[in-house]
Amino acid sequence: AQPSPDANGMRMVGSLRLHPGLKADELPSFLIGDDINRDAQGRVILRGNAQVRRLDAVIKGDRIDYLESTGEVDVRGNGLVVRDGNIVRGPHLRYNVDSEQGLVEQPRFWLGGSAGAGKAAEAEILSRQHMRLKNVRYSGWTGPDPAWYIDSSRVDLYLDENEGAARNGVLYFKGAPILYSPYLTFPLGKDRKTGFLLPTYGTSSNGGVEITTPYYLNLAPNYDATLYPRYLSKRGLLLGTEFRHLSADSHSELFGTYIMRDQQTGDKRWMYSVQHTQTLGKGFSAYLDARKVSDDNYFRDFSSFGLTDAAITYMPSQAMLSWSDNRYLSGFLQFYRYQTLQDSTGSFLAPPYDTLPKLSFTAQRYGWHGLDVVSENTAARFIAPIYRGDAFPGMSGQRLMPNGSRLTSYTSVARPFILPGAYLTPKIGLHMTQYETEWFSGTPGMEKFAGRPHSQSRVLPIASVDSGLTLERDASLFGNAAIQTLEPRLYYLYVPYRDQSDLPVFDTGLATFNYQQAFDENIFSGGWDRIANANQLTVGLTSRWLDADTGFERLSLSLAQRFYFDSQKVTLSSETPRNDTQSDYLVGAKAALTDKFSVYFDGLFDHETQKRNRLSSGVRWTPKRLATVSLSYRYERDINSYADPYGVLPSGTVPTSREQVSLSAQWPLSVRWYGVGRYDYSLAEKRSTQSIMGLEYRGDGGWAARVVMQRYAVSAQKTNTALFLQLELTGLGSLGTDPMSLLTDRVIGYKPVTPPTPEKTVFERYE
Amino acid sequence: QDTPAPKDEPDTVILSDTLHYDDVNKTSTFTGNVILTRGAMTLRGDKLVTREDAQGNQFGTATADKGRVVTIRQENPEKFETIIATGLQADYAGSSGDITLTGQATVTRLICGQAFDNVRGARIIYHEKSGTYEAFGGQNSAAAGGRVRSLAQPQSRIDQAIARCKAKKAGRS
Amino acid sequence: CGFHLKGATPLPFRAIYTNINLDSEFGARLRRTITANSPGTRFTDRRREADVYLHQISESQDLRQLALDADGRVEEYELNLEFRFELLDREGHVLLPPTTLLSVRELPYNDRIVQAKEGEINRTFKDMRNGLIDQILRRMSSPEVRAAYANASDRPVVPMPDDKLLDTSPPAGPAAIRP
Repeated sequence: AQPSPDANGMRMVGSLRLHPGLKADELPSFLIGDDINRDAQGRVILRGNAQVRRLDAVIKGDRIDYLESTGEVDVRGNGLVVRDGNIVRGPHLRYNVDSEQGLVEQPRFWLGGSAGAGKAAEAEILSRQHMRLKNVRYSGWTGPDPAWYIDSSRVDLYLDENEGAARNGVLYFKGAPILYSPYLTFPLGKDRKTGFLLPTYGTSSNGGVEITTPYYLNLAPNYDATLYPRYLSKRGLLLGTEFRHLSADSHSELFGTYIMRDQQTGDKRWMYSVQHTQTLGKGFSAYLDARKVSDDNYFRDFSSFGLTDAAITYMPSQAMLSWSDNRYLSGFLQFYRYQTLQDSTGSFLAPPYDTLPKLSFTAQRYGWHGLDVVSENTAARFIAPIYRGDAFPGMSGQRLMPNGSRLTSYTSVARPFILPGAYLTPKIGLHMTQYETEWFSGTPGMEKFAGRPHSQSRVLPIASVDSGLTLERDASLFGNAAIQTLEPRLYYLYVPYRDQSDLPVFDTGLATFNYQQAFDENIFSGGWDRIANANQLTVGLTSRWLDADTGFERLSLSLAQRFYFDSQKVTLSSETPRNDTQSDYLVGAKAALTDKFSVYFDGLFDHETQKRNRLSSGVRWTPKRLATVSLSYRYERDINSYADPYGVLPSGTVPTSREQVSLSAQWPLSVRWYGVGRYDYSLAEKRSTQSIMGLEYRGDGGWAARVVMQRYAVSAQKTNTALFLQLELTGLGSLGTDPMSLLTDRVIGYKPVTPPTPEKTVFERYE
Repeated sequence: QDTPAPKDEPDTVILSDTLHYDDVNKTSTFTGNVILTRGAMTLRGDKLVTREDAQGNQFGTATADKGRVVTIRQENPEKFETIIATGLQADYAGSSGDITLTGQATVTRLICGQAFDNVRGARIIYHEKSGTYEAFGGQNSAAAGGRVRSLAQPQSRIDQAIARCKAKKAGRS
Repeated sequence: CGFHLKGATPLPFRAIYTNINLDSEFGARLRRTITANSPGTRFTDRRREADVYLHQISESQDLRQLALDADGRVEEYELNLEFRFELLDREGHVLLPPTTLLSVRELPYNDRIVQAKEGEINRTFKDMRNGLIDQILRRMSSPEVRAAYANASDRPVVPMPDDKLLDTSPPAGPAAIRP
């Protein structure tokens, strides 16, 4: 855990703004010049770098004629108007201080806030908030020689809406035109502005050459949308859209894509994903999460640039109505379905059960006369979907798993005794389950279950005692004062044996044996269709080093092992039960040695051979901004020890171990160039499972370019190699979903290269 | 150009500690807290030299001792206005009716005794007939940087001040 | 070797108000741990009576794909729990500036037992959250906070926040898609 340093650069105090009571016609104006004279009509003529200064505006020029009665100002010779942080310069400009209208010839302008600058043939100031420019060159970069600019015959700048609208505008980058549009709106600053976002170019083996030009629609303060027209040379035009809506008691997001005719497969392909959360009042709230995709290979063929898509094998959809009195009682009614995406080049994936519906009611009361009472009750109807795809014809139409329903009630009472340096928590609970399973109803493939009883029940007590001490002493870690703790922990669990071999398995699996699971009540996880018999004692020892003055945890080491007094008699199906008396050793270490350097290590070692069954460790070093390296190693022995309760899988799936090294880094190569990358190498299969290589160039003149290459497996046989180029023009639609979000997701500690443009306020531009 | 026929030309009264008249050059030199009043205008200075040209136009040059200034005050009751001009030297040219202030020259317009507009420069020419003025920067300017600086209050504020003045005046009389 | 049983660490303030639901498991354990370690301290649900305000700013759970197997399927998830809180006194003086406690764990994944793994992920997040309690107590009873409470008047003042939690993200399923 790390204290997060807040950015402490100098920042304009948010509350500094023009005094609201300022009425323009009540302001005195100061006239300065080499000489001033006033003619008979009351016109004041200032000559010699003359200035007319007023609290909210400044006008300068070689000669200024100012007729106070009409507010008419005529400026000749390098004229300048500064108002609301906007600067307009021109050889000759006429401006009326009262009507706030004017005309400027050959203007050069710099806009207030974080907007851009440019020049034009003529500028017509129609109002304080609206300026119309002819033959304009505008750029979001106010520094010298901007890298990008928009040339347009006419641009209207709406300063209060922070929006610029250009007619037949051409976007130039380094002098080369990259975008033409008869009507182009662009933001004059950071706010959410309707308009084109950054185009992304690229190629991928899946989709060929592709270009995405997201278009953002700022429809209203509480809802907006983004359109993603994405052209893929191998497949055609895929229309994507994303819609977000926020209201006082609900927020929802809709994302969908559609392609009329995929040139490769010839048919329609689409995908949608809707999430909606709604609070209904009186403790009720509703949650909907519906997702569907047109076919199994959609993500493999269209995975844009995020790995998150291609790795998806299940599309869960759920609708839930939940209630809670925010104190002791809560409950929900949930409908949960899966769409399973088969990989025809890989092995068959048995679709998981749909729970249509699941009703749950929980009552919990902590500290009721010193007792913690928790009662969880659920009723669920499990439907096994019948596979009808064509990826595995052999499995199509077969019923692989029985439908059924399950009623469970688990009520427990604990009596915790807590002292500053010790705790003791005895806990006793009763777990009752009733199954109604339709084992065999004449459909082929289920004969082997014919004999199993339709309704079965299981009742068993679960008793445990958890106890621990906390010992401390003063110590020092790397020279600064620290408190070292020693925390022994004993956890005894007793669960009697019940024969559960005939019970169905709806949503239960063997949990990974790790430090948290070692102190848990069941070696199985999920809906507890199996509750292992237990007569075991888990011993743990943790030692931590804490900063003496902040209490921040610098280093923690932990060791745990479980001692079994009975052999395991409950299994999911045919896997071999454990019968040795000691579990593997669990070893863990985590150190945030400095704010910049941290190490972690988690291991599971075989108690006899001391060989590693599972091990993962890594180091991460972040010397300065935009520089971070992390190296990690992962090993796990024969992971396929999961069960196959219904014998669905083809035999001969040999358990294999997996071993992978992963390096990810972002490193400044020079002042301008930054490297970013990740490389995962599987030692077990002797090949790379994922690699990302990226180069980022931060040009001056307000632009940055990224080229990123990514290669990853999308299925057992197919890998996708994608190369993407992105151009980021600061000040022009720097907002919007960044298809490179993968980098922040995959490269640990990655930070975008272009620093956030500081918001320049109206008060920082004053002459 | 012929000078317009003087209407009822106001008479000029000059007070001073001493007076020295030089008949040859037709000049008279007043010294010692000189006060010249002419109609609604009064001039105060330490020394005033007046002369008359052949056509009978009056010319005068007023100067002030070190650290003091010549002050000219012009009352304009109907507009509730008072113009106060100051400078190290003031020249009055009867032919054009112009008054020229040179050196730390300032002209301030007061309304009902409250200062509103002002002009500060090195040299200011005030054309009494057309009510216009010209101000020039220079080495010894009353404004920073040898420049000319002028403060112009918005007309609305001036009108408000006049209105307040009228109300007070009406209330008193 | 110098180890002694951890004694009570009495906190300088007597009444704590918090926007954490004290009837939830996390809230109940937090209250029990704090009152056990500082017998003179109790929790109150009337804000005006409280000496300090333990304000939970936000809590977010995030699931990151850590590793892929050769078939491109997720092999390991990284679970990130970020708990952000601050400690203010009655007038809004900042006793403990906004602090982020980050807990990270790795969990091997197997997409053949999706629902079982989802249960395991939820139990792991619950265990990670309970693991933060000790760190919250350590921070609140650290000498730094004790000193800040002693001369609270010259600490920076912030406007008193309302009780609403910020982005408690909805339940993170393993197949959460980011468009």
